[in-house]
Order: sequence, then C-alpha cells, then structure tokens
Amino acid sequence: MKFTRLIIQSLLAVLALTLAGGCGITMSQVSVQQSPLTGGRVLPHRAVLVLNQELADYKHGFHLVGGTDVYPIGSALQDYARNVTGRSFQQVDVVPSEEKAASLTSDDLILIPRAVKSDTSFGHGKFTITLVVEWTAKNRASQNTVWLKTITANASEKMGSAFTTLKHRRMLFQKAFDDLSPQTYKAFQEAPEFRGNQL
Amino acid sequence: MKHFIIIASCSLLLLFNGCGTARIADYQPASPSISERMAQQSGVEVALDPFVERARTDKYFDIDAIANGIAILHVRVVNKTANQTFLVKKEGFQLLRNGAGGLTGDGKKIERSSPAGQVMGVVGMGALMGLVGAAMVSNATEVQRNFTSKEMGDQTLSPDESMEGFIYFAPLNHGEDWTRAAAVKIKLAETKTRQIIELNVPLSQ
Repeated sequence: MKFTRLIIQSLLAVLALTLAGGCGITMSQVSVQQSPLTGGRVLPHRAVLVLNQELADYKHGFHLVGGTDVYPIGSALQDYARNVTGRSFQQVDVVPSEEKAASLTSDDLILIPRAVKSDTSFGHGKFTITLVVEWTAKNRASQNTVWLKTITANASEKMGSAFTTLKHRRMLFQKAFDDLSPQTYKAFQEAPEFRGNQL
Repeated sequence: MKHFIIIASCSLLLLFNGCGTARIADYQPASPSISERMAQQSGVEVALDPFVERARTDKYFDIDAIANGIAILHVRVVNKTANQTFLVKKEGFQLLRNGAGGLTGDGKKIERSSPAGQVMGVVGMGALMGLVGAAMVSNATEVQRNFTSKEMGDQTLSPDESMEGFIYFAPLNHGEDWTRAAAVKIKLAETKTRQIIELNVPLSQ
C-alpha cells in the first residue's frame, strides 16, 4: 500500500517537473548576442539584404517528453543576418522583400537568408541543436543566382535541472548562433564570386 | 520520505529523457568507398554511395534504414572545370526505380517504357519524421536531428570545389533493396548560362 502510494506520488512529481520544464508553451522571442567577426576583408559589393516575413516569423519547436515548446527566433536570425552582412560587404541596405531589393539600382547584389530547418535532441544530460540556414546571392541586374550556400550550425548545452532548464535552453540558442555567424562570415569571405568587382 | 520522492522523480525524469541515448557517429567517408558509383559530365564528377547495409545505417543514423523504408544516399560532387559554377540542389536528384526513365541497370537507355517504373524525388527530414521508429522520445529526437545535420545542403559549386552530404528518399517498401535496377538522375544548372547538365548514375552493381 505504502509502495503504491510512493509510486503514484513519484509519477505526479514527474508530471509536475515535466510541466515546470515548460512543455507545450510558446516562449518569448529569443535574443542573442552577435559574434564579433574579424580577420576578413570588406568585399567590394553594395548589397541589399532581404529580411522577409518568413524569416521574421521563424519558430523553433523544442520537442520534449510532454510536448513541444515553441521558441520564436526570427529576431535573432535578423540580427545575425545584419551582423554577418554588415561586417562582410562595403554597403548593406535592408529591405523586406525581393521586389523592393530589385528596385534598388544603386546596389549590385541581393542577399536572401532563409531558415531551412532546426532540430533539437536531448539525452546524456544535454540538449543538442542543429540550425540550418540557406543564403542566396543574386545579381540584382540580371536576377541570376550567383552564389548559394547552406550553413549548418550545431551546438550543445547541458539540460540543467527543472529549475534551470529554461536558462540553459537560451544558452543553447546563443551557442548555435556563435557557431552559425563565423561559418557564414567565412563562407562570404571564401566565395570567389564576391572577390572581384564584377558578379 | 519527501527527499526520496524528489530523488525518485528526478531519476525517473532523467530516464524518460534518455540518458541511454548514445551519440551517433560522425561520417568520415573512406575515399573512395567500395560501394561508390561514379559518373562524369561536362567537368562535373558525381559519386554516389547507397547505404544499404544495416551496420552502416545503424552506426551513422541509429536506425535500420531499409527496415524503416528509407533510402539513404551519400553524395559527393566535384567541379573540375576551370571557370564554371554549378547550382547543386537536392531537388535535382531523382531516384529511378525498376527501369523508370528508360534506364537499364548499366545506365544505357532503353526504348520501351516500364509500367512498373517509379520516379522518386528527395524528401526532407520533416517527411521522414513519422517513418522513423524509435523506442523513446529522446532517441527519436536525436535520430531526427542527426538526419538533419548530415543532410546535404543546396549550394553553388565554384571551380575546383567539392561538396558532400546525404540525401534521403522515402517511403519505400520496408525491407526492400531499393538499389536493384535503380539509377539516380541528376540535373545541375550552370549559373551564368543557366544551361542544365544531366548525369545518370546506375546504382546496381
């Protein structure tokens, strides 16, 4: 009898802890500190960066035992895109659509970031995230795709206890962007298509 | 008593969270793999390595892919041209099965159409999620994340550059050898002229 009561109490406590972990909740916007990116050179292009609604609305689903917590990471993605392009190109204008970008005749390059997918897993006391972002660069005048790159960022962070897990999940996102930003910066720097004045 | 309940609860929670989930191995391709098939066209070389052995899909994806009806294909593309850039997209890869697309096992074209032929496009990880049978939530999330992290990304390939990654086709009949009488048709676009080049790589030995 005593044993059955203990089991029931334990299961209720597990349920309470799982709920405390925030299962099935939409969280507030994730904000991350942008990486300092140095060592490269300024690429000789006037770029127009397209930060569209799809990117702004991107949400990451954090699948857990009791459900899926939703983390809006659109703001973080936009800040990351501004940071990596601002440090890579001679000039960067920001517009909300490709149509607007095409009309900016003073610029020669259109850059379009897209969040392709993101997944998290958990086990061994840690969370692991994979965040995939695709960058398309178009010649503004011809609308030809001149460069395309898919960047896959990975990061891990300990899960913490039921009381600290939310903080650790935020740290996980920070680490993912800490991996994503230098990879993107390096990809811009190494692309032969961006080295010369002509696209 | 109270402390015991808390400790027991935390232990149970950790068990649900999958402490036993092993880390899945990173893939370091042997160069060249014995099961790799290659083709070359207009200065572009494509090597395909179908993952049909249970040992390899277990090691690198933590599932028996054939039993789960998923075709896993490792792709390596090399641009050997001096001044051309190619756009390589997953959607440019098609799996032609049972003679579909007029291809025989050795890649030679045949004239008759094959009613049993089947053309399959690449599927993304989202579509695979429901197909993967995993015992625990934690294991399922890790299997899915691992598929995503190993997936080939779309990209342009500049002269002398190479790229690699995995692409997936599903659903297949569970337990079926999907490479039998199959070939992969690949379309790549040259970025300046938008000219399309096509390669056909037979998968059967």
